[in-house]
Amino acid sequence: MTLRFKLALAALLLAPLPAAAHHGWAGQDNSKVTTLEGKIDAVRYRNPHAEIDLTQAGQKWTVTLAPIERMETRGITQASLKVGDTVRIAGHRNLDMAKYEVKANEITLGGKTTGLR
Amino acid sequence: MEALSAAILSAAAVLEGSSLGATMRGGRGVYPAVNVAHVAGLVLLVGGILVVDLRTVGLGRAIPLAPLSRLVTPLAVAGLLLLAGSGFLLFAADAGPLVRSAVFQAKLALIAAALVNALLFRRLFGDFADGRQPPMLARTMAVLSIGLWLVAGALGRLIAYT
Repeated sequence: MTLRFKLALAALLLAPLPAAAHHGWAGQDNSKVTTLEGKIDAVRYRNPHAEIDLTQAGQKWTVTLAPIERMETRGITQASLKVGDTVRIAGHRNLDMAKYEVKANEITLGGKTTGLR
Repeated sequence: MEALSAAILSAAAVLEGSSLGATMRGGRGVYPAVNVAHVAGLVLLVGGILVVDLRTVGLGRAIPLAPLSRLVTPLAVAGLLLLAGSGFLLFAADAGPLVRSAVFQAKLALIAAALVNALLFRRLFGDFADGRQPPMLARTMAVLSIGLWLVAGALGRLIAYT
């Protein structure tokens, strides 16, 4: 292997370093499913990801849903999510326990459960 | 310094709150399409630059460097313009959180460094039209170019994970 080839290879191998340093969304707890049920406080029906805030037993949670195109394809339109509605969420919680955040796998509205992943 | 931060945060808020920002967030199919354009820009830019940089370092000596560079440079510039345009639109969707993101800030810093490196290279070495072998400094700057662009690209992808 010539020196210049080694130099080129080193440059190419530098690229994955940032990937090794990150865990993804500060890490999510994949060991168990977190379920939440509460009233919707706020709806942000938007890209890159729709979000809702809900309150369960006095605690406010932020739930990340899916991009709006995916939500619409699966039948959850902007009109489906209203402040004051009761919603049930199943997903994975942010490993940072100081943040009450969940990435939703499923959302149940009016008795109907829709997968978001 | 604090006045500059305040100005940047304020400008980001204005952009995010604009109708452009609203369209990027709420228009059906808009964000995905702009995202795809951003990836296409990255392919055009980095695909070409990588090949010219590797040739500058010394791979593929059978290929003359000057004609290769003349072919690739306009493609890379087109890619850069596509990246900048689509990037601005993606930024508008989420300007507030993005401007506060360390990963995003690092990405912009690396892009700035890569551009300075590229312009300096052009200034110092032209396009090697005389067929001479690039000197050590040129080869070093080519390696730096590869590293900076690939890491900047990776950071762009990783913004979503922090």
